[in-house]
Amino acid sequence: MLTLELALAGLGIGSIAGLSGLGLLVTYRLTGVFNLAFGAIAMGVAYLLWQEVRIWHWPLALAALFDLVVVCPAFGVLIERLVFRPLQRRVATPAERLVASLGVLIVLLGAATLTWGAQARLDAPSLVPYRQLRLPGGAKLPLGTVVGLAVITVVVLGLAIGRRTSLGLQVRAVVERRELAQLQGLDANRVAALGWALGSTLAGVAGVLMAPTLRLQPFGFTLVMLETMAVVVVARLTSPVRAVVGGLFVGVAQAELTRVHLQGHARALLEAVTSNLFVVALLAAVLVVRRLDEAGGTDAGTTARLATRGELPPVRGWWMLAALALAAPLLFGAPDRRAALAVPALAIVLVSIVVVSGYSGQISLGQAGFAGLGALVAARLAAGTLPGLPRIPGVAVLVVAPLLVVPVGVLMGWPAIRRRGLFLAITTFALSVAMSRFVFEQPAATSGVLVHPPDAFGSDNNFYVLELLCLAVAFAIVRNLHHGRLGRALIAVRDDEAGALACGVDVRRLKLFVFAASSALAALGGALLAMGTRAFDPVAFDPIRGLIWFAAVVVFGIDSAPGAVIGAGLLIALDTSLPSGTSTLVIGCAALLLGRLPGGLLHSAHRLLERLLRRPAPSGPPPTPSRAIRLTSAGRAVARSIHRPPAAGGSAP
Amino acid sequence: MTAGLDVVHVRAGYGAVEALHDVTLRFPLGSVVALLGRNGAGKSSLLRVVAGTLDVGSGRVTWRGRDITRLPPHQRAAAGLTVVPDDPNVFLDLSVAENLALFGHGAPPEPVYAAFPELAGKGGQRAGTLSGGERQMLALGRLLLRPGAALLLDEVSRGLSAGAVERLYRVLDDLATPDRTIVVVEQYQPNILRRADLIYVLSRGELAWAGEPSELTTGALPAALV
Amino acid sequence: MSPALEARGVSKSYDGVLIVDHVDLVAEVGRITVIIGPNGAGKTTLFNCLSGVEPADAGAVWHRGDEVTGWSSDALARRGLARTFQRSSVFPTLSVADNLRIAAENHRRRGILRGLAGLPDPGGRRAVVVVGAVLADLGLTDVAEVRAGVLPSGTLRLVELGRALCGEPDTLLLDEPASGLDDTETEEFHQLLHRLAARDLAVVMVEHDLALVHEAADVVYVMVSGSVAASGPPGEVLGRIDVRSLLFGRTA
Repeated sequence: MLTLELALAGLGIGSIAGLSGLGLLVTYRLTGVFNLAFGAIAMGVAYLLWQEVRIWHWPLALAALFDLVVVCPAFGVLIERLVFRPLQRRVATPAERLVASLGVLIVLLGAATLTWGAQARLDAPSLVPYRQLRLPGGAKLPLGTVVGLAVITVVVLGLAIGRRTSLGLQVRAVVERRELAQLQGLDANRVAALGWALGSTLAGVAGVLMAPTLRLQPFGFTLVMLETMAVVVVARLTSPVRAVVGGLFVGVAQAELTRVHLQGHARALLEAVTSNLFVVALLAAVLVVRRLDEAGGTDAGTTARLATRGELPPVRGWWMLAALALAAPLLFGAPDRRAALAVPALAIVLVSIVVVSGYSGQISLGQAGFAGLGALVAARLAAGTLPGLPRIPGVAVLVVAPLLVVPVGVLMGWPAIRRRGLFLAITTFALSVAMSRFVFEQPAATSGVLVHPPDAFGSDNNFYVLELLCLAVAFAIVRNLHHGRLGRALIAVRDDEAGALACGVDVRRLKLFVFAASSALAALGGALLAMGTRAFDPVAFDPIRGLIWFAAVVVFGIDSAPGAVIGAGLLIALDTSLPSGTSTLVIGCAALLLGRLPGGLLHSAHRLLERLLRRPAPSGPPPTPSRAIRLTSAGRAVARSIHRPPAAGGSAP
Repeated sequence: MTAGLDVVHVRAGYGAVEALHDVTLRFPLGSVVALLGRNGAGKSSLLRVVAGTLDVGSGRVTWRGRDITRLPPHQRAAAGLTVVPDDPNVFLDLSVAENLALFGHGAPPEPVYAAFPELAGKGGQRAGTLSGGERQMLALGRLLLRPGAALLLDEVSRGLSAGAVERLYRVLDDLATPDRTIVVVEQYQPNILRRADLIYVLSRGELAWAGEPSELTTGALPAALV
Repeated sequence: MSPALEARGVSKSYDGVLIVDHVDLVAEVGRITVIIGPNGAGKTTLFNCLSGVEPADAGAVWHRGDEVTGWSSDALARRGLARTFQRSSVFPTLSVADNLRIAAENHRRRGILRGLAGLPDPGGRRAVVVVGAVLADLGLTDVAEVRAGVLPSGTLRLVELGRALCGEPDTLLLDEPASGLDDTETEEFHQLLHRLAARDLAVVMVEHDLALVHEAADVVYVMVSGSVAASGPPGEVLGRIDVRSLLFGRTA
């Protein structure tokens, strides 16, 4: 069945995927950061080369040399200096670093969309001239493939040799524990800058080599590059050789599958699988590869450090602001109100992220998938075209559709029981990509789908009121998840999972439940989002969109429900009033600033207000009650530390 | 006793929280100094100020008369200031031998294995698989390869059995020479009280007590300690 | 009557290194069983295997006569086998009272959907009563509303112990509960231990402080290099020359 010709053709894509994955892996090994921005850097460099060659008419060789030797390393050094070094200084958690790399990704996406627009370019310059090399035996191999394989070989050999050298040892030390490395006399900043420069150069090389085989388009190109994460997961973030072999294998398999011909539905399915084989591989890898967590670091922990950690009491002011933002559209004119319809819907989606990531500490990058699924299921339920189910009339759709999405949420929550931090993030993202590619983009699933609000809520005003009601229900659920017994248990899981287990908290069941509740909320929000625009648009539920939503939630306070509403309002306002890409850029920049705004924008604003008003910060131990209580020595020590005695003994000699 | 490490009127902290309030401490060359205090007293913050991993708000740090307040950490290490932080103080992903090579700049590791036979034969083992006590031995033992002129150790005895603590301190005894400053940070550890020339007690970010071990009898322990 | 906790042939290794090597252990109700041994002897790993934090490679564990080998730690906690950790696992963002309340509320499984719907918790009142009693017992009442993250380590040890007690356990595993305590606190802790044992609790603990062991222990297990080198009443075991040399390296 296998043919040599197809295998060699597949090597072309395979080598670039292998190189891309290798670059991601090398960046991780050199910097300790799983650089989600990798795909966006590749996209940015590919665009830059296009601009230089097609618009400014630079010679190709000069432009490529400039981009790969000057721009890429400089960009790597720049983000190390401005983004990751401040995080390192305060020993940020992996979750914080993940968000920072997400910030870089989003900034680049926003900047590229603003500069080059969202339309696809098909004329990316090809660095390697198209020439076929004849192999002994008559088979042909494109020159590009040879170049790709050569670059891979150089990188893999370099890694293998470099690991044991003194510099390699230094790099490993800095990656593992930067502060300790500094204490041993290593200039950690220089080592880290070197790692970032190398990592972004590899991203650039992958992007420039990949561009001619793809459409150049900000979201699409970045997503394709991100799909090559599959080979990194297969390699469990450690083995470069496995990553390369994985890339080559998927590339060849993709080529060989084109020979298989089927009929009918099976044919469409096979075509979808073939053209999205990296997605399939990613999905299979995250679900099948065992012992991923150990590779991703043990405490690749939760989002606890992103949260406000209860330092300040919750503010009622944010609720007022959120309520005001929500009430305003009722006074708007028709076109503005139409745009505002998206606000409560998006707010519900963002609240679903607050639930799963803010309260229970699980990073979920896949909420766009649930939202899209909710929209699609609701539309088909309302039309009676969901196989096996009757037509559901009116508002009932908004109850049934989220419930139907819950099993999918549980399915996604299943790996979450075992996975943590980084690999949980990748797993959820992979599922969202799979949903987008195999459902939202399949004509069989989406063609002929008509979306409209429930009958009684046809007018914009009425529909808006319906949305507000849904939002109120969502908030009621969220409130019960954040307070009382459930809320305490969730915080316990977020703060210290081992401790929660020791208390008898059934962490597994709780996590599954939170994923289920969160997916239902996202589905509700997605359904409303589609009803508001009266169309199902796969672009609205793009996996990359999900990344932006997650970043927005983190920016506005990952455990702040009113923050989600304000964030949704701001995103929609920016999108409707300014050129597309602006809101993305704003969220990205804010995510990058998170290192300086712990707890998110609202919490930081709150702290600033506290300081300006000079109210005593309630973060210290509160005063002891006046009742007389028998104290143990520990209790007395605390009491003493509260009523501080005059400094005993002498001063400095 | 000549000018060694001096911390003069230092204020430092994390964000809005100040951890050290105008602290002045002198660690002369040739002395063993015990820095005691409860959790959160500012001991670790002081070590981080000396190491250069925590920025000083005001005040200065001098080493043998040279102002090092703005010197980056790796240059301080090169100037002979060796800080062994609180756990984890070894690289868990590197092997025992690699940990020693990284610190010793290729010096032969035998002295470490001689002082701590538990580590001998474990050179190829990942430090992450060592027990807590063995890690402490590795962290302290590697100092033997390239001992700096100032050794600052953060709670090296934590979680160790009495016998192990005694052996760690014997290694320190050998390192205490007239041209070296040794600073041992502990919560409370009778072992160090016998050995120290000078004792500082920190409490809530301030110096609460300073004096010699003879003045520090159990009956008159500074309130900040108990 | 079957012992509160019994282990037979428990073994565990990491990266091919045998950390716990066929350990047998019996903990009786009303007794304080202490495990001592030099660092790296595998005491904490043994605890992890006993309490379900990590699965043992071999061997079996019985809790009150029922085999519980391979049970997860939360299921064991709900069965009445509670533990504390060497390094604090207190929830820093919650108040002391809420820390305890979590244990009191979760030692029986209760409906999640009920909580989601905002219905009152049927066992909620009892949980509050238990928490109040334990707070008073440990002298933590006046710091009940303090956020745990700002408390000194000595107090956190008590909070952790209190959390274990709020699950109303019959077996307590304490990993170095006295580390970080000063002399007075240690003394008080020691009295507390006896009060606990008198309440028909089985206490198993890892401890370094030999004075405390002498004073408090009913049974001592000496662990060296992953296996039990000696066990028995403290006066007998700790007096043995070979045990002393194992513990102190040289004869001290």
